[in-house]
Amino acid sequence: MSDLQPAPAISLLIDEHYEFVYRYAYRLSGQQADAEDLTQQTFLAAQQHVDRLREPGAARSWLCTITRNSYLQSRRKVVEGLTVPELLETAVPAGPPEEITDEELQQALQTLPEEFRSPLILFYFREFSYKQIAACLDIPLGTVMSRIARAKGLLRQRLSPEVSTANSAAGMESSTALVKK
Amino acid sequence: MAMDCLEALEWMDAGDAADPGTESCVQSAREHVSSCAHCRQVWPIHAAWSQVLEVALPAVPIPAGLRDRLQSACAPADIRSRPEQAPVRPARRSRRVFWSVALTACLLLLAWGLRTVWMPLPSMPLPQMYAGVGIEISTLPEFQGAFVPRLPSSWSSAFVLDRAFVRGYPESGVLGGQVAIVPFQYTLRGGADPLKGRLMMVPRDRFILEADAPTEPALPPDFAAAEVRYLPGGRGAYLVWSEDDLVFVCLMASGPADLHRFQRSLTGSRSLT
Repeated sequence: MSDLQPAPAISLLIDEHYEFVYRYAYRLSGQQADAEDLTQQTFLAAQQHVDRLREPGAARSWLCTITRNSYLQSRRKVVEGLTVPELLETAVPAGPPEEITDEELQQALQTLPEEFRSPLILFYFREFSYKQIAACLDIPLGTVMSRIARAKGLLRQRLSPEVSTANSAAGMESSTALVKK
Repeated sequence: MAMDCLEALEWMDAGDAADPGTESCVQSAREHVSSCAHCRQVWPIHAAWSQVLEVALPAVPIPAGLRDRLQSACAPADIRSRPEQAPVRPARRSRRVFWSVALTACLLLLAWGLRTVWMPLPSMPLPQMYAGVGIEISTLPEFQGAFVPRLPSSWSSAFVLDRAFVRGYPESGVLGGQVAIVPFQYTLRGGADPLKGRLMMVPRDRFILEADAPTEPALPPDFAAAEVRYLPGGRGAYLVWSEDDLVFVCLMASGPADLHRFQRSLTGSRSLT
């Protein structure tokens, strides 16, 4: 047991929620180091404002909000105003591949704007209802459902075996106008 | 309650996440799916993807010792500092050590300050990098600079650099001789239109990406490891990484999805079968 022990309230929050917060932070940032930083920032911020946590049952949702805000602050210079194309999935989509590596999943996630990534992540962590996700992200309930659906559709497109097979190294055709081979 | 296919599939996806009071919506969605030929075909595929994502998304390994590091970080300050446990040193010896350290620190600070003053400031401010995505190449002169432009190592399988097409910025400007830029296009297998982009090359010690921050020490070491980032205002996306003495910036106006496909195709996607 470490000699350094925080105040009981934050210590209990860490014990109970650190794994969840870290997993969320990792899926947001895509990097272990960034995720650790975000997790630490989350609990330090929570320590400062623990008096704002009125219901112990809402702790996880509250911590998620802090994590997300910290992530957005760290990315404000880079991510702005990207629009996601409308999902025109009228055809039957392809089924999932037999295996998806974590790297492939994370790369596909990183191509989604954060406002689509977060509801998808929180939904598939199976910890929150739609209403709780809406409260955590401060968006309407209907927006939660539509963003999750669109994010899922985009992930299906990126992770579908048909797309990956088309991108295989063998026989790749390349043409360059100015830098040619 | 009538529903269209999209709405029905969204409610079917909700499962346990649907809040109390929305049971009628879920029931309507089930009725729609059971009566719609398209949804009957599509829903099992949606469900299969949900199962995969439900397992894969939370599957993040927790770094060893994370809990202890967090507990230490959040420990109160009065517990962290234990002056009564500091070793007792003779006063004279501690003063000599203090002044030696202080003098060394001053000398290092002076050397760093002189180096900063005498060396030209790094170039490649952010607005110029953003402008590179849409700049008209024909308006730029041929590159004349202190370094030899070259392609990233992973690009050599698909491209050969033709020096005649490497452009630079006017010598009179702040980027003159510091930045080389070359356009490229690349057609994916099965792709109708080629992906078009710009590759910028900057010497490593001249590169600064953020307008108000020093050069990031942790630039990815190769194209494969670089992370797709968004350009503001929906202008597209870029990757930035360093190899040896050069920093590369790959810009693509069509957006992060195209850039991601380009990256995957050059670095060799793994077959999933």
